[in-house]
Amino acid sequence: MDKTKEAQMRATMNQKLIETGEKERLRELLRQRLVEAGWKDELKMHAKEIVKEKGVERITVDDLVTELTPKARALVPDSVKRELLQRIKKFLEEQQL
Amino acid sequence: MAVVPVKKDCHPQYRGCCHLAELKEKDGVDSYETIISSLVSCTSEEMRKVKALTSICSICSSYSGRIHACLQCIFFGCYRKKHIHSHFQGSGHYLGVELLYGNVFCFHCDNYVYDKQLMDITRKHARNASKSLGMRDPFESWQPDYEEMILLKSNRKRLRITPNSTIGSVFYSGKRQPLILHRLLHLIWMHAHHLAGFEQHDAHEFFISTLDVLHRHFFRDSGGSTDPSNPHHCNCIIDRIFTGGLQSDVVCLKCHGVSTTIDPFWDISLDLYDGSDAPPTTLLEYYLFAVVNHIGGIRGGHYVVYIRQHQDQWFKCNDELITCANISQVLNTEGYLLFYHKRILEYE
Repeated sequence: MDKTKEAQMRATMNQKLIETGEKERLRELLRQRLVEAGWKDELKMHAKEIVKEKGVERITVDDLVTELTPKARALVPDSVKRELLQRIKKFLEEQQL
Repeated sequence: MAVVPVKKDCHPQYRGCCHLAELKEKDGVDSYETIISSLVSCTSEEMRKVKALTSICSICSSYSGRIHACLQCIFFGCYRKKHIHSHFQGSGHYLGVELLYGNVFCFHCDNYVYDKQLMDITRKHARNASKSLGMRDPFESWQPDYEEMILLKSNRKRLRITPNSTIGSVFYSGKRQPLILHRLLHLIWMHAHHLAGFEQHDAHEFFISTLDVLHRHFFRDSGGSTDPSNPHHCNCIIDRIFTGGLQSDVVCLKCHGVSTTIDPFWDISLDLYDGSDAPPTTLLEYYLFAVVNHIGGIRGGHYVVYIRQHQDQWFKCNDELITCANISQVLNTEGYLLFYHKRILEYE
């Protein structure tokens, strides 16, 4: 699939996900799974450390996002990614996209 | 002519963002509420359609770079490529609403800012949106739903599991004094007479009796077993949380036929460790989350429990005295009852 087609496909998928409310459902599922896996607690601890280090008066959300994002992504368990992928695939099949 | 933005700082003594407060005073919160209800937390498919078509960066057409809507005019810009920033620079506007959660970004403060009134609006609409999709309320602490209320009310003897005296509501009441579960204790005493009184009792026996009382309570109210092939099968909350299945296979020596039965169990007794066993292989992962220890002799003594919270923080609970503990302290205790929970709840 060439690049423009892929981008188009992605945009359509995004629209469908929002329209049907499936995006909200997936977000809720993901949130739940990450809590179960201890991801949230771990990230929270990490964030606290960063805030302590930089000082609560000086830190911005941007600083936190920059520092936390790579770690946050790496820590998402593979099983959770797989489950989400399955759900999205199933949704796309149902929508016949 | 482009307005050259002058970055203004809030007064250092000011709590919160003064720029947002100023705008709120001038224009109220209507535009914020409109953005939230139509672009963040929609309650119908039509509205979500609009959301899907408009939540796109006006400059680069991205839909995933954290889109912000300007609070002071109609403009959408992404954060990742700083297109919302360039809008603020060009227009003199300075407040943007992030469209995933409804957080407010202030260009002067160069940060997200908090405002109680706006957060209440966000929550209200997020609730409505979840409800419209048939999802649970994302912010609510536990409240008995209709079925649970019936369970709680239909307790015929009125033995004190009523909504406003559940352990949960006592626990979360906000009072900072030792929690005494006298109602629970009374309930157990009424049902397990041999445990009533002030003699010393066994923690394991008490635990099993507690589960049994609760199980009988829920079993009766949930109409009993629904699976005729397995009379032991029960769907009550106690069984779902605490019951495991112990499979025993009996093999006929002659025909090698296998007869399998699965018995429910609430606890597993462990052999005293003699150092020879290989660790058993398990398919599921479990976390140790509480260890009950007994101090004293066979005639009497005292129980102390270690409980794990927030991933790896252990606390030692000795009556009303709760202190921090570390894992090596926990592992060096004798251990009388061990509580585990599943690492991952069952996927459907």
